[in-house]
Order: sequence, then C-alpha cells, then structure tokens
Amino acid sequence: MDLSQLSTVLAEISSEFDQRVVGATSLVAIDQLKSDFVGKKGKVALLYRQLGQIEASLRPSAGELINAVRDRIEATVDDLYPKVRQAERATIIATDVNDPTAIPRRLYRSSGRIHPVSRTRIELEDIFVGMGFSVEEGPEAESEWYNFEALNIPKFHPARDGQDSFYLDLEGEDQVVLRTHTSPVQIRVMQSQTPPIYAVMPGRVYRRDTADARHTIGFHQIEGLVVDRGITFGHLASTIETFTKAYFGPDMNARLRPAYFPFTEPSAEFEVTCTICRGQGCRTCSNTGWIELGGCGMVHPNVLRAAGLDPETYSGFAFGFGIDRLTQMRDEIADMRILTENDLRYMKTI
Amino acid sequence: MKVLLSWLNEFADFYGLADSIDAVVEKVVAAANGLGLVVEGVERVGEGLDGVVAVKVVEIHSIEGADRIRRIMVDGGSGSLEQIVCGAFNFQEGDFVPLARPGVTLPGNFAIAKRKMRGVESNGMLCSARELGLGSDYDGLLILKSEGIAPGDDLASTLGIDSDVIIDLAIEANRPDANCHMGVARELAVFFGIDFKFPEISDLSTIERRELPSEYLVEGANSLRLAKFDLSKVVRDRKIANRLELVGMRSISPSVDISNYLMLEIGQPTHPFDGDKVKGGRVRVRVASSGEELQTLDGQVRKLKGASDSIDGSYDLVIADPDGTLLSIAGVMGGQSSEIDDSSTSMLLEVASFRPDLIAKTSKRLGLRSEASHRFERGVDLAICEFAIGRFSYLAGTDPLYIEVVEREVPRIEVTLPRSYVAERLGMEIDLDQVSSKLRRLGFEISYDETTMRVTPPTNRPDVKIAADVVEEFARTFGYQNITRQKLTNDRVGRISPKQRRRREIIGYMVARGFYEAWTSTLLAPNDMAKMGDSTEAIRVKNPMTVEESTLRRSLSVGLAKALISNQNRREDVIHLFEVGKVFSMPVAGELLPRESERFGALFLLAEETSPFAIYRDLAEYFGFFDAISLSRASDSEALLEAGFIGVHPGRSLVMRSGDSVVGFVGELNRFAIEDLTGVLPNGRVGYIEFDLEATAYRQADLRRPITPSIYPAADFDLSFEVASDQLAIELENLIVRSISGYNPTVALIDSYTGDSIKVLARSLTFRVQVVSMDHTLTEAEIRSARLNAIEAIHQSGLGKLRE
Repeated sequence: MDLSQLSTVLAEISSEFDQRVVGATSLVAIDQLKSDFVGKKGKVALLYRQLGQIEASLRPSAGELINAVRDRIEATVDDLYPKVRQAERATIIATDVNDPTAIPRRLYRSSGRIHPVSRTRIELEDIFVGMGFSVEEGPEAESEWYNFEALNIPKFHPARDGQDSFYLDLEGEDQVVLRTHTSPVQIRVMQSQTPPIYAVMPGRVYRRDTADARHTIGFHQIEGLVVDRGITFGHLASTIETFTKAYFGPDMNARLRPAYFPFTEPSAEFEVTCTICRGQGCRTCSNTGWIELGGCGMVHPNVLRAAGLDPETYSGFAFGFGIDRLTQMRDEIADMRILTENDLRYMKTI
Repeated sequence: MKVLLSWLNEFADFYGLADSIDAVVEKVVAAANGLGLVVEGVERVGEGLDGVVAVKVVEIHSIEGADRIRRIMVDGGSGSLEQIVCGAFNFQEGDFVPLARPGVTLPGNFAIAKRKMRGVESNGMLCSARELGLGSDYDGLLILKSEGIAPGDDLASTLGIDSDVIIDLAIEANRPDANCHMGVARELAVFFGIDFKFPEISDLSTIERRELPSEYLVEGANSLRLAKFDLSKVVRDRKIANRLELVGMRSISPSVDISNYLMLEIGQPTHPFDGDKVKGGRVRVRVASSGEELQTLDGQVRKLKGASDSIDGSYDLVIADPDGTLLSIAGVMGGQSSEIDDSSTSMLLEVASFRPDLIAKTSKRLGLRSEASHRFERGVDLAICEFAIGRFSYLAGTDPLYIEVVEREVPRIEVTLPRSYVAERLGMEIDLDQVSSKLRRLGFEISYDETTMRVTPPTNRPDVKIAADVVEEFARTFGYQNITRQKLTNDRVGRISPKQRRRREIIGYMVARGFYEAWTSTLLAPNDMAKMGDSTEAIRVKNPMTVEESTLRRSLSVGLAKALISNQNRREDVIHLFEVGKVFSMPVAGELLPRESERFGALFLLAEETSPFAIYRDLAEYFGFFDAISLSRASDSEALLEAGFIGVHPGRSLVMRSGDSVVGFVGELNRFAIEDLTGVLPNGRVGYIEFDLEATAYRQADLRRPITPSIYPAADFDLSFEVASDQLAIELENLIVRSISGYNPTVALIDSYTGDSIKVLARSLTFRVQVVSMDHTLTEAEIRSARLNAIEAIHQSGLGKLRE
C-alpha cells in the first residue's frame, strides 16, 4: 500500500463517517459510531495495523494522515455527544407530562388548623407583650373569695346577678365556683408580685347562661391589670386606645363611657369603631358607629386592699373583654356555638 | 328600664332642645349614653293608629270545624253589626276591643284587608296591644275599659294616646337614682343645662298626723309611713294606665296603678293594702319567724326565714298587722289576703324604706324578683317617703284621712379627700368650680379649700361613699371623653412565659402534623365517664343548667371521642383532632380547690400508615421529654383510671410514667367504650395520645441540647433477636442504648417479623446500631466489643435471644 492508496482508503472512511454521523441522533448510535471508526477494532485502528506494509520512510507521513482522520472523527463525536445528550434529555422532559392535580384524596394529607379562639388569644397576647405586659394564668375552679369577695362583690350584691355561677359540689366550708371571669387572676397576681404589675390574663370562664347564638356556657376572656405608683384614668384611656389601634388598625378608635363594675371605680365600658361599617353606622352597631367591647376602670381601693396592697401607695387600672367575641367580630360568626362544635367541615375553612 | 319621653318632659323641657322629635331623641340618647345610662332601644309608639276604633263585642259564635278561631259580631257604631273572625279567646260579650277595618295600616306597616277564613268573611282585625304598638302583651285582645266609650270611638283619642317615644335604658346597679323618670330627667337636665322641676305634690300640712309606736320599726327598716285613703275618692286617670302599659306594666286598678306609677316616676315603691282587711287598721315591720308562710300576690306560698336560723345574720323582713299576722314580704311582694279588689272601700298605703342587703337576700333566696325589690336592693332614697305620699295624693286627686309615722334619722355620709385627689386619679386638672356647680344641681354638697375637699352626696346616691366614688362623679360629669390621654410608660419587657411558649409550639406542631385544634366542653354528663369505663367519683356542679353539662371532666378523651363521632356522622373519614385544656379531680385533702391540670390530647382515626407511637415519639423527641418518660404496657388500666385517663385500649396502648406517677398514655381508645358513650361505633381503630403537660413538655430541665456530630466515621451493624410475642421493641432498644452508651449509639428498629421460620419464639426484631467515637476512628476490636456488649445485655435481661 502506498500513500495514495492510504489516502483513498482514508477518504472513503471519512466519507462513510460523514454519512453515518448524520443519522447518529442517539447516544447509543454515537457510541456505536465511535466504536466502529475509532474504537479498538474500528476502521481507523485497522489502518494502524497495516502501517507495516508501508515503506519505512513513508510511515511517519502515513501515521500523520491516519492521525488526522482519527482526530477529526474523535473531535466530531466528542462535540456531538453532549448535544445529543441534551437533546435526548430535552425530549424526555418534554414528553414526560402528567396531571399534577389528579391525586386521589386518600393520598392527600392537609395540615390542621388552630382553633379560631386560640388564634385570637395569641394575637392579643402578642399585642400586649409588645406593650410591655406579661401573660399570667390562674385556676378555672376558684373560691368564691377570689371570684367575688376579693373583687368587692359581697354576697347578694346585685352585680352577682349578671354572673350566675356554677357551684361545685365539694366538701369544705368555702364555696368553689367555676370562675365567672378572669378577674380572680388579678388578685393572685397582686398577691404574688410586687408592683409595678403590667399583666394580661387570658383564659376560659363559665357562666350559667343558656347557650344560644350569642353565648356558650364556657367562653374566653382576657383581662389586663396595671398597678404602679401614679397610675391614672388618663393612662387607662390611652392604653385602651393603643390596644384598639394595634389590634383593629390605625383608623379605629376607642371611647369610654361611664359604667359600673364593683371592682373598679371609676368604671367605664369601652367601645371601638364598628368593624363592619368603620363607624359609618350599620345594623351591627345599631347605627351608632360603635361596638361595645369590654369593661374597664381604676382598680377599686377595696380590691387593692384585698390583695394586700395599700391604695394610698398604689393605684391601677384593669380592663377585660371577650376573646370569643373578638373572634366572632373578626370572622363574622353568626352563631357562637360553631366554636364548640368541633365540626371539621367548619374547621377546614379556618 | 323603659322611660317615656313625654314623661321625662314633665320634669324639664327636653322637647325644647330641638325642632323635631327625632332631633330631640338623638340628643337625649347621646347624652344618656355619655352619662352611663346606656340606651338599649328606642321605640316610637302611638303612630299607625289612624282608623282604629273601639267596638263592642255583641255576639260570639263558633265556626264549624275550627277550634282556634271564632266568628265575632261587633257594634262599631255604624248601625249594623260587623262580622270579624278572631283567634283570641280572652274576651266576652259586652267587652270593648280595638278594631282595625280593611284599609287601615297598623304599626310595622301591616295592612289590613278583607279576608275569608274557613269560608267566613272577616271585615278587619280585632287587635292585641302588641299589634297596635301599645305594649308587649300578646296573650289576647286589648280589652278597653268600658266606661265613657261609645262604639266607633277613635281608639287613640279614647285611650288618650299621643305619639310618644319609649327609651329603654340599662341602669347600672350603682345608679339607684336613675331607676325612675325623675332621676333620669334630673341627670339629663343638668347635662343640658336646662331647668329641672320636681313634680307637683299635694299640700298635706293640714292632714292629721300620728306617731306610730317605735317597735313598729325593727333593725333593717329606716322608716314607716301609713296613709289612709278613701278609695271611692281616688280618681281614675287613663293617662296613668296608658303610661304603665307603654313601659311594660299591666294596669290593675286605680290605686295599684298610682302606686306603680309613683315608683316609676320618683323611685319609691309603696304598697296599698285593703284598709278593711288589715286588722287594727295599722301595719308594722317585723322580723319573720322561721318557717312562717305567706301566699304572695302571684299565688305562690312562700316560706320565710327568721333571725334564729340565719348563719350570716340575715333575715326576712315582713309587714304584719298589730297582732303580728303576716300580710306581706317587706319590699318584695304583698300578700293575697290583704289585696285590694273591686269591693275594697279604703286603702292603707304603706311607704317605707328598708336595708338594701336584707331585701336582696330575701328576694334572691325566694327567687322572687319584683320591681320593688329591684329598687330596694339597689338603694331607694331614704328621704323621699314624705314626698311620695304628697305625690300619691296629688295623682289620686284626694288627700289621705290621716298619716302615721315612725322613722329614724336619715344617715348622711361626708366624704373627705385631698383636694388634689381627683386630679391625681384622672391624670389631669379639671375645673373644679365648673364641675362642682353641676354636681350641686344634682344635690351634692361640695366644698373645698387649698388642701381638702368635702363632699356630701344626696340621699338618692347611696352608692357614693368613698373618694374613688367622688372621682367617678367628677369624671362622669366632666365627660370621660374630655379626659386627656396619658401615655403609659414603663421600662418593663413584656414576654410570655416558657410554658406559654411551649403551649404555642405544641399547637403549631400539631397543626403542621395535620391535626385540628378542638374545644370540647369542660362539663360532661354525669355518666359519660362511667360509660367509658371510669367509675371514679368526679366533681359535680351543684346547679347545672342541664344534666348534660353537670360534671367536670377528668380526661380529654370523652370530649374528643364525642367530637370524633359527630364528625363521623357528618361523613368525615379523615379525623385528626387535638386539644389543650384543663382536667379536674377531687381536691387533695386539706385543700379547697380541685386539682386542676393542663393536658394534651390527640385523637385520630387510624389509617394504615399512621401509628400512635410514631406520632408520640416524634412529638416527645421534638419537645425533649421522650427520654424522661418510661413506657410500659397499659395492661393495668386501674392505674390509668386513677390518674384520670379514660377509655384506654389496654392491649394496644402504653402507659407513660414519670418516675412512679402515671402521666399519660399512648395507643388507642377502646372502640366499644366509644360506642357505649355515643351509641355509634367508630369506623376503625381510634389512635389516641393524652398526657399531662407539666410532667412532660413544660419541664424545662428535660430540654435536649443539640450535639455536634463526630468528625470520625461511624460504623453500623445489625442485630436480630427472637422475642416473645408480647415483647415491646422499645424495651430492647432502650437496653441496647444503655449497654453501649460509651459509643454514642443510635439504635433503630428496621424490621419486625413474625413467621413460621422462627421455631421457638414468635417474633424477630432487627435493630440497626450505629456507633461512633468523638475522638478517633473506632477500631474493628471496639466495634466488635460494642456488638458483644449489646448482645450480652439483651441475653442477661432475658428479653430476647440473638438470631445467628
């Protein structure tokens, strides 16, 4: 074989390669192509074995000729390989289609929901924590002393009428009630801490009231207590206002009007801008633009005394309102009993 | 309390405040609210009566096949009888009743038309008080007093009804002065700065006066006045009866009506006795004797309480004749035996004042609330009794024949406070002169110098007793809205406690795990817990509303089981609920209050892939108490019941113990117990976890510290043991961990196998054990030693045998 013959063979191999490379559109075909031409038993490798038949002085030139073809084939294949791989993957992804929404219900596991009242309670706690208050708790079964007497509500006081209580059937001289308000925690906090006291007291309370759209027998209140030197009615009014804007929004207002609670003097009811009509007047607020939210006032000297504090040294204010009621307002709940029914159909919508 | 605008206007010129009634009402309502006399409703009355006439019932016929309606023939003054179909039964032939003829539109935009009922034509409607907007009475037709009426008379002019406004006020317990028109009017008049005038009274200076024996008053009564009237001279005033009806009181007889009217007008309850039925013509106040009985005006027999059987020093006050015969319960309700009736000719009017707490106790104990007791227990003006007789006489149009009196001095309180006190408590200086002048118009006597203020409240304000009360009067008069807001500044950092944070985290964790937070009732039916297998005595409520809610829960499982079934009944099939709440048990000896602890409970209808233990384990590890709690089979359900865990499925549950005390359980509820409780069998196994939070998640000391992993490679090996069929895997796991604790082991069960190939024992458990050293790469010898230690520990315990 001389160089020209070799060149002819190489040209044929090159030409055959060029023909076959066009059809090599899969990685498998490329691998086959590579093996057929530049593999160990490939057409190019066979030529190297025939180098011996060429005159010695021409062998280097012959080797270069073969090398050039081998390099071209290898470079072509190496260049082609990633392109085909990418094209092949693109095809796989492009054709891999499903319906992501077609999941059988038994495979679908939702997260749960927090109870609406818990959610409100946490929101309220956070707001008061932000205002520098701590969060305190107390027992749900209370002595009459903590629930009434210490709060300046002696037996047969007319104010007990509105808070008809459940009495527990226990031995012992003192009566135990399910607390009718969170206020007994005030007494416990004042007994166990030295002023300054800035605390809110959320919790479940009970009233002997027929359950209906607006009442449940057990419900939740949050109560606030501030006792320090020089605390004034002006502080109370300002605190109520700060809370109102923090909870309901900056364009909401609070107002106080005279009321009566045995444990505070002076006492006030506080109202906030109607959340439905934003103060314009609607059915919910009886066209007043205001909704009654809770009670508040300056802690009665008798209450401070009952808790062991000197009313000459300390003064304070307290306020309280219903957590469930706020929940009702926020969620526009028509019938409060839904909150105690644990109806998953409802709870899933929370 | 309902007040009439026209009545208020008799005390001050409220009509003059604005051009229209609507505008007047708006002003009055705003003022009342601001003063703390909260307006609960406003109602216009006496409108929509145009065309309604008074007619006389002539014939009453039944309608065949109808037992709820009748055919009534009435005389409407037209010359011929008119036929009306009517469903009321409270009248008879000869009565005068209101008729709305076709074409008339009643209040509430109710148009009357000709109708046929049961084939009988009805030419209009006979009306009740409520249908006419004249009161709340709906029991039957409004029966008109027949005297002076002719058939066909216009109803509004017959009744003397002008259009009026009823304002419903919520009067707080500390405002006894506002329980009458005069008090409300006076407060409003001072607010508006308009003249207030007391109502006219008869001049009784020439009436014969006698003194009653001092023993006619006992402790608890401050004064007693008796005025004898000739009943035949008492004038019937239709305006009085109308006004009573409008504010919700029934008109009874002229003398009783005047007594009621007087109470609503000036706040003093009085009681008219039939003068001839009172032996000796006089009454006295005395203490009831124990067990004494009286039939009150409402027909009930009331048993009274004397001083001797009183623990708290309270007793019932009664009114009796000079011989001691019981006539009425003082300040609460009269007796039937001395009631005025149609044949009465003379009246003995009793005007007295009583100690509020005694009346409150009597009224509460007897469960007998009356308009009189409501006022007496809040405190009636002690100084108004003489005025009341004068006003009664004026309204009755006749003077008493004589007046008999016994009384004590009316106590007055002077409150002394530092002059600066009001400003200190309000946080601002207010114009004392200006506010004081307003308060003086309400009867307060106020004086002050540089340092001291002295306030003597009027006799109708017994609630004002201490400096704080004076602050409220000044604040109220000044206007709460005018008080300057003062920023509350403090350098305290607010925060929730670690326990509260933990509670929130648990709620968040469970929600993320797919659980819904429940709120189940704290109060259960008495046998709910027994139905679930717990016969332990629970705490009962003495005075439940319903038996369904009469017992305090000892466990959360009852409420959650009920919630499970109610959801199952609503065809929910994936049910995951949890609750954080209190449970209660009998007080520890010597303690007053019940034991109260906060629990966590989670209930889930089991699907194949959920395991109660897996849920518990992750929860307990997440909250760092898994290692602090020991677990064992719940075969001893007595210990669980004793600790207040109810409804356990013993074979598939684990008891949680902290030290020796049972603090919870993990596993399943007994489905049949739930069926016994609810009548419905759950649609599958009921996974359940309940534990005490103080003993677990709230224990700060148990919080795990994170561990930095070793930089050296770990080695692992598997160990399979043959174990008894009822053996708990966790016990082997714990034992392996303990036996090689020096190797920082992690142990996980990778297979639990029960099958034929195991000949001697029933089950095989395979654990993968990973060991690592913090300071070097473990040698082969060390790894082998760890393996042998673990095997040895299991063999020594006898819990299992290594499978080779």
